[in-house]
Amino acid sequence: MAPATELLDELIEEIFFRVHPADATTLVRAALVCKRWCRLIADPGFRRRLHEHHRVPHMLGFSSNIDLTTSTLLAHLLYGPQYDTTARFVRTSSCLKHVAMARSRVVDTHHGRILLLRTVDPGYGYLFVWDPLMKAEHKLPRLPLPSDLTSWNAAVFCAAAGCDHLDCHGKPFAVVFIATGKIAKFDILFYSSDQAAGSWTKETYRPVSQQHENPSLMLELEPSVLVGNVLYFLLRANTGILKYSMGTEEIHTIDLPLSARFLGPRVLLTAAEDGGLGFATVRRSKLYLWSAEGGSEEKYERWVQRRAIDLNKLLPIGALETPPHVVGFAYGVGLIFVKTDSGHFRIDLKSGWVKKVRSISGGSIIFPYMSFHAPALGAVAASTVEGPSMMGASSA
Amino acid sequence: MASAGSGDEKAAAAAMITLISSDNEKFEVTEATATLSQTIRHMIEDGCTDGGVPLPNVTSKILARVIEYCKKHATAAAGEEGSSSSFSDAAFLEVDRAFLEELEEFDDAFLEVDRATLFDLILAANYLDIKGLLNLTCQKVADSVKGKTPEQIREMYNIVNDLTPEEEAEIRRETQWAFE
Repeated sequence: MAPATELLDELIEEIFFRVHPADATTLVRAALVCKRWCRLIADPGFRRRLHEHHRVPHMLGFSSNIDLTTSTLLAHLLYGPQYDTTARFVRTSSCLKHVAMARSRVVDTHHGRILLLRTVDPGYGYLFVWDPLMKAEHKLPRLPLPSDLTSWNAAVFCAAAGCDHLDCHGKPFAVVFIATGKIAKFDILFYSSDQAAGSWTKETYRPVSQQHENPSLMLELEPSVLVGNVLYFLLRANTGILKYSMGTEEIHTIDLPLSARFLGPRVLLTAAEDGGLGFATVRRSKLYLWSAEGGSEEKYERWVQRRAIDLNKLLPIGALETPPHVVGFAYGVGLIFVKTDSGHFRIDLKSGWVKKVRSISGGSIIFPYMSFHAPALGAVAASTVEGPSMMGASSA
Repeated sequence: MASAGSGDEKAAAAAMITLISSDNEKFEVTEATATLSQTIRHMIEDGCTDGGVPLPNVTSKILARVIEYCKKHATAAAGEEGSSSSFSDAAFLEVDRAFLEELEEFDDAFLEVDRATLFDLILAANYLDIKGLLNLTCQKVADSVKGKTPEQIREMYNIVNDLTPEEEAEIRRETQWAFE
């Protein structure tokens, strides 16, 4: 009797659970070993348990922008042809492909979707949502832009009710587009893929708690952070953070700690370890991780510096001759990307493990693509057309 | 050094449990070693270990290996509990690292077994509910199939391919990226 067949299904699953979460190849190959293994891997229940076992999505790739322009702000709202940006997707899991999209700019990514802006002609462009795993692209209708637009940012996220985001590919998503005008006001444009009409809804807000009476608040085109039902956007020149609570539809501004404000170093918003708001920044050769603490939902009482990591001890000699920048953060898995003179490095915050990241050029922000590879395994399920009969055959 | 904690050790040494394999071999182990198994822990809590614990699903050969694992890891667990208060102490961290390395070496050597034994260990770890051992052995199998072709996996684990050529071709067509 072959030993492998003596194990119960649940123990074979225990083994499959321990395949690295980004390694879809091994699981797909295992599905071709025999009917029983195929049935186990094709089972949606198994994929569900696999995700529950790993709990946090894995980084399956990342996207970045190769910029031929220095201005990233109004350039793509004016859709000028001279502002040519190529969006690149670099896979780190074999179930995805490397992709380069001309005249496109990555704006945001959450819940396995990537939001991009594409310039078609001078004077015309559109936002679209791309799901690399589902190989699906969803073009959004034209934005009813405010005429006095001074800056903008946008975010995409899953809009399925009660979703735990373990496998929400193919479910409804929403896009929030936020624009600033010449006076201190924000226009929020909302799009949901669920609406039959498929159009933007627009609301104008003034910040509820304006701590600094800055009449010209502007948004930095940097990755937003989504914590529960709240979106956080970085304001220009590190003046603060804009908080948009989608549930209550309120806008607040949050100050950054003095040392990081205004002419301080580049700031990247992050989700802190406890799931709250945080940010990362580099000063001299140290990487600082901060998190917001205390107070009510509306207003954080204080910023706490959680960690200071000496990059001299982690990065190769010569990498820190000029100050490095934080350029990317991967939710849940504690990976941070730093750009230095010697290239980009990926730092695992838990282990301190450092890896050089190739295939990135320029100083662009990195948008890690976090997901489970369920849709890739779904291909196995889709191809097992004789599912029910296989179950019968292999249970013997 | 000799006096510190020796009372505890004596108390632990006093509580011995007898485990009886499927082929009726008896193994005397400390309670600390035995309770790495949740199954046995529950039996001790229920007070039904007098006269030995029969383990009809585990042979003496496998039980001996499982006990070897539990003895080593029970010491590790005791060490962790005793020193959690001095976690920030640099000297402790140094010692801890050395010990963890030793434990890793032990685990590596422990897994140097044939495939049949490895599967028997998985079955025993599952039956006895020893999380660390189940994790270790399942991880070993998972690592062994990494990067292998279906043919190689079948050969390694002596599995007969009962997929029809049509089924195989269909899956391969849908998941071409996994075979490039």
